[in-house]
Formats: sequence, C-alpha cells, structure tokens
Amino acid sequence: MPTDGASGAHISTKAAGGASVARDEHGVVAALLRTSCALAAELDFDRLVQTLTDEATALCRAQFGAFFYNVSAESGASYMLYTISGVDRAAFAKFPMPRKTAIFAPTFEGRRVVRFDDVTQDPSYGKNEPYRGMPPGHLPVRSYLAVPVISRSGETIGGLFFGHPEAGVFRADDEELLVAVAAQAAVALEHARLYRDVKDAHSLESRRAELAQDISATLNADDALDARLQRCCEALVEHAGAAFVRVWEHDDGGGSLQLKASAGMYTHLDGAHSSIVIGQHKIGQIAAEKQPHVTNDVLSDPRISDKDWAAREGIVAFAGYPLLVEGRLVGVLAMFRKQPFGASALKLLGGVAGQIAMAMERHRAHEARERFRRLFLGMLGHDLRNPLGAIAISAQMLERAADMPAHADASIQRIRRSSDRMARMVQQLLEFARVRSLDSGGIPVDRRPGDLSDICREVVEELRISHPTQQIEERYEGDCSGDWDADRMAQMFSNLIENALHHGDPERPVRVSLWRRAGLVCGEVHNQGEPISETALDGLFDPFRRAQAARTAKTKGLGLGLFITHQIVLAHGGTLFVLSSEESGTTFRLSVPVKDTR
Amino acid sequence: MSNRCILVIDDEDDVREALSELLQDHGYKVLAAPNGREGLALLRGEERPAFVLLDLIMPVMNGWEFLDAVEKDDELSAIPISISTSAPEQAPANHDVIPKPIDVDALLERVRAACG
Repeated sequence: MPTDGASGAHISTKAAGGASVARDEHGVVAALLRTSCALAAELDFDRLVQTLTDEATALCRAQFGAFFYNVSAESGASYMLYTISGVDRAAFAKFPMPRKTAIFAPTFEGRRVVRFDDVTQDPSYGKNEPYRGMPPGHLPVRSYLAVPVISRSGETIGGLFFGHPEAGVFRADDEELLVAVAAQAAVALEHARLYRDVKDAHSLESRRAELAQDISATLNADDALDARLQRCCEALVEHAGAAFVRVWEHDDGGGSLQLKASAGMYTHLDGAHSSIVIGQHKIGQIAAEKQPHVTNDVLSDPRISDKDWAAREGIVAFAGYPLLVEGRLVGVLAMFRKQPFGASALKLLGGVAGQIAMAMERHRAHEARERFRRLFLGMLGHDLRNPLGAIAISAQMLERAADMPAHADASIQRIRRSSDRMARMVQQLLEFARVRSLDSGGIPVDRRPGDLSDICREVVEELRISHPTQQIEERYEGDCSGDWDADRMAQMFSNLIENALHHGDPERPVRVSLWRRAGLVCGEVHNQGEPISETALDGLFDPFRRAQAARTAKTKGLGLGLFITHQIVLAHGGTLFVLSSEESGTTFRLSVPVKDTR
Repeated sequence: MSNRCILVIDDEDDVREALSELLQDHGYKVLAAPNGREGLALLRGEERPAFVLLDLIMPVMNGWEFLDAVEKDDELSAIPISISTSAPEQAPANHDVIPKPIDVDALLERVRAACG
C-alpha cells in the first residue's frame, strides 16, 4: 500500500520516546557552524559529499549515516553512488542499492523528510521482495531519518539517510536542522559539481589531445601488435586515470577472447581472465552483444561479479567496449577506475576503442597476406625447382655420356650454367620469402664456434675454380674465431666475392681481407672498376632493387643477393656498408661481433 | 652377389625418369613410384631395394608419412633412405639429405655405399 500520501501519516513528529540522548544547544550551534563552513569551503565534489555525510551524521547523533546521490552519464543512464559515515564501507558494499520502495521513495523523489521512531514497526516496512525488510547482516536500524537534498532548480540531487539501533533517537528539531543542512548542501554540491565539470572538461580536453596523439603514434609503430596494445593500455592508465586496462583479441573463427595486454594494477596475461568464452562474464557479454557496458557503480552492477574485490580496492567504475570493424568483433577493451567516468571521458574511450580495433584489423589483414605470400612463394619455389632438377640431372647425364659428339659439349655446359643460375635465383627467392615472413630477427641463424677466416678461405678456393682467369688476393690477421652460422657466412662471402669478380675490372685482383678488432671480426671485399652509381648506392641492400634500376649487360639475377647478404650480417648482429668511387673502386666493409650479444 | 636394386620415389615425372635412366646407365636396377604409397608397395614387393631415394612433397602419401610407415616396419626400417628435396630445411633430422637440383656425383656416392 502506498505510504507517501499527502497526509504524511508516516512521518513521526512525536518526541523521542525510546532512547534519550542529551542535547547540548551550544554544541548544536557549533556543529551547524562547522558544517556550514565545511560545506562552503570545499570545492572537491568527492570530499564535499563525505564532509556532508560525516557532519550531518554527527549533528543528528545518528550511529550511521549515508548520502546517496545520482550521477548521470551522457548515454542517459544514471548511476547511484554513496558515501557513508560511522561504519566501514566494506560492511555496506555487499548490499544492493536502495530501491524506490515505500520507505525510500519519498526521499529519492524529493518529496519530503521521513522520520521513524522505529522503522521496523511501520506498516510499510518489510513489504518488498526479496528481503522483506533489511537484508540479512544489514546494520540494525530502528530510528530512521531521511532528508532529500534538492537543488534550487528543483532537481533531487540525492538523499541523506540516518540510522540508529535504538528506537526514538531522532526528534523534530533534528529534522529542522537537517533540512537546513540539506539546503546548504544542495548549493555547495551544485557549486562543486559545476567546478568539477569545468575542471574535468578543461583537463580532459588537454589530456584528450595528448592521449589521442599517444595512442595514434603507438598503434602506428612497427613493432609487434601485442607490444603496441600493451603501450596503449599503459597510456590509458596514465592519461585516463584507469586503475587497470586490458585488451582481449577475438580468436579468428573461435568462440573466445584471448588477453593480449594488461596495464595498471595488474599486468599479468595468464590467470583466470586470459581466455574468456564469448557470452560469459562481463567481458564475454560485451563481445556477444557488441555493445559497450559502462557503470559508475560497480558495487551494484549485476554484471560485476567480484564486488568484494571492487570494494576492497576502491573501484567504482567500469567501462568495456567491443572492438568492432564494420560490425565484426575483433576484441574487447575494458578498464576499471577508482573515480566515476564523466561524459567526455567516455566519449574519448569510445574513440580509442575504434582506433585500437582498426589497428588490430590491419594487423590481422597483414598476417593473412603474409601467410598467403609464404604459401605462394613456397609452392612456387618447389614447383620451379622440380623441372630444374630434371634439366640439371639430364645435363649431367649428357655430360657423362661417352657417345656425345664433341660440338654438343658447349650446349650442355650452357644448359648446366643456366639451370644452376636459375636454381640459385629460386633459392634466393625462397630465402627472401623466409626473411620477410619473420617479423623479428630476420633470417634465422644457427651460431656455432668456428673460425671465420677458414670459412672465407674455403669460399675463395671454390671461386678460384669457377673463375680461373681472375685473381683473388687474401689477407687474414688475428684470431677470427667466434660463433657463426658457417653456411650462412659462406653464402655471405660467396655473394660479396662473386659480386666483386662479376662487376670488377677482370684485369685487376679482387682483394679479400679479414681481421680481428676487440670483440669484432672486420672484413673487406674490394674490387677496382666502374663504381656503383649514386642512385644505385642508395638502397643497394633493398630487395628487388634491380626491378627499379635499369638493366645493364652485367646484371643478372633477381637483385636479392645483396639483400640476403645484408640480412645474414644483420642476423649475426653485425653491420655491412659499401664505399664506391672512381679512384678507390668498390669496397664492402663488414663488422660482426664474435659472440651473440643480443 | 650384391643387391643393386634402387627405389626412386618422386612425383615429378621428368625427375623420376631422369634419375631412373641415370642409375640404369650405371648398372642399377631401378623401381620407380610417383608417391609414398606406391613406393611402400614396391618396398614390400618381391624384390627388396637396397636403397631408397625419396622426395618429400608429394600427393597421396608424402615423404614424411612414408618415413613414418617405414620406421614402424621392422623388416624395412634398416633400408638406407636419402631424401632428395627442394626444401632441405624441412627434411626431418637424422636423415641423409641430397638437396635438389641433385648433384649426380653425390647421389652416386650414396648409392654405391648402400649397394656395396
């Protein structure tokens, strides 16, 4: 039955009958003055509501007091927050927010003051499911006094609620005092809210620009996606004041989300939330519904399961966004905060979620392209090498055949040379595919102890056989032993020296030198002859450079040799550069650390 | 008398034929199969080869599956197998590998060693 009739039948106005609490008029005036001063002096909204609750609780001699107030979000949803006095917040945290039941409605709707000598004796008490009275474990309230706090524009800002375990504590003059305090509080709260909004808007505006710039730069970096996501989370912790921020990625085709980044209070990626089934828990629900979920009151939000944790850590707000690209789910961004989200903060986060979603999508598309390219080049390599194999074997057979006419020899040699060259190009193409497919580290190397000068000597020996008319001079100094991938290093020397033999003046020797300097082995491959043009020098180690350069009579192959050579040196932690001029010829200069220092 | 029978398994007809001819020219008897399954049937046939030259990437039954089947068969597991492949980095460890394009001398050396 309704209890808020105009008669005000349920407002007790009789003098306290139960407990008699002595009242010191002087003390009341002092307390009122203190309250007035405190309310007038405080501009910080959160501190103001706490001061209000503490002072008002003391003023009416309540054992415990609370101030419940509404916060509106831009979405139109409103959240109820509260401060509490005289009792530990944790003792209160497990209870749901008060609803507009017969007892509470007059206060929340700003209609009037409600006072009971003994609320448990009131006919409207205990009528509502599920508790039919106070929830089990609730503070024992008998004396009850509730005063709405109404702004000058008529808006109900919230309500002050007071309780005492004994009956009959609150009197009519308490009501009058608190109505006066509530009026003062309303003005102070309005000012504080205005002050907070202006301050928030100002600082958010500058932080928003900073954050947007930060996020954009982070997402456009070229390191691994997980590292970029992690830095985004860290930026949100720093600039958006989040307690912690996490990003989950939707596994393609699967029904789950994988935790990719976590910053703030928690930075681990394993544990209970590392993998979340779509549809389960708050994060999975956001993914399933593809709708953001925002609350400034995690303690009463049915989706937040671990309320004890939130109360303990002082977490009040949660915002979770599905990461969508053209309506398709790529992940979820979520954060907890110790302060409520304002409208502009939420707007900002929505934008950040969009940026992150796009970056994740770009990465996914890039991965798919890479997979296809690897597969394609792998198949191409295999399919090209097979017929080459048949040509090579057949040429070798002809070479060995006893009954071949003498004039066929030159043709057979041409077939062999061309098929060998083709095989090398296919090999380079496959190696290029492998280098490009590895996001970090480049070409894989297997470093084992060995002497780099031995490796170089062997290569020179082989090249002397295949280039019998050309001269190669060698010079080795000091101990060139270290950890090397012998096959790769041989390939590197072979490419550089063959290059020098090929492009250099055939009448002048190619000079190869290796020497030890501190923790490095340095080397040079030098040839005299036409220098490399300046345009060709620029980007000499780029793959397929020949595709952009004019073909000359001397250029053969795909232009991958120097790219692979450079990659081998890089994979050993070394450097390779080239000097070329008319007077001093062309020199490739190499330096490689003897041990893997990375 | 030594066993001079060789099994060549390769899906590329030209490669298989060229290898067969080459080995026949050197006095070996050659059995040839275009995939692992047919190769396995020949290996279990009347004449047991002394050496197998095996491609890896093939339809029906690839080289890896062929190796698995041979390793599980006590009667066959002792036969020497060399892998000839254009993807030597994918070849299983502890197997002899002759990268493609095949160097004829390297192949003949293996064959001689296996056949005695």
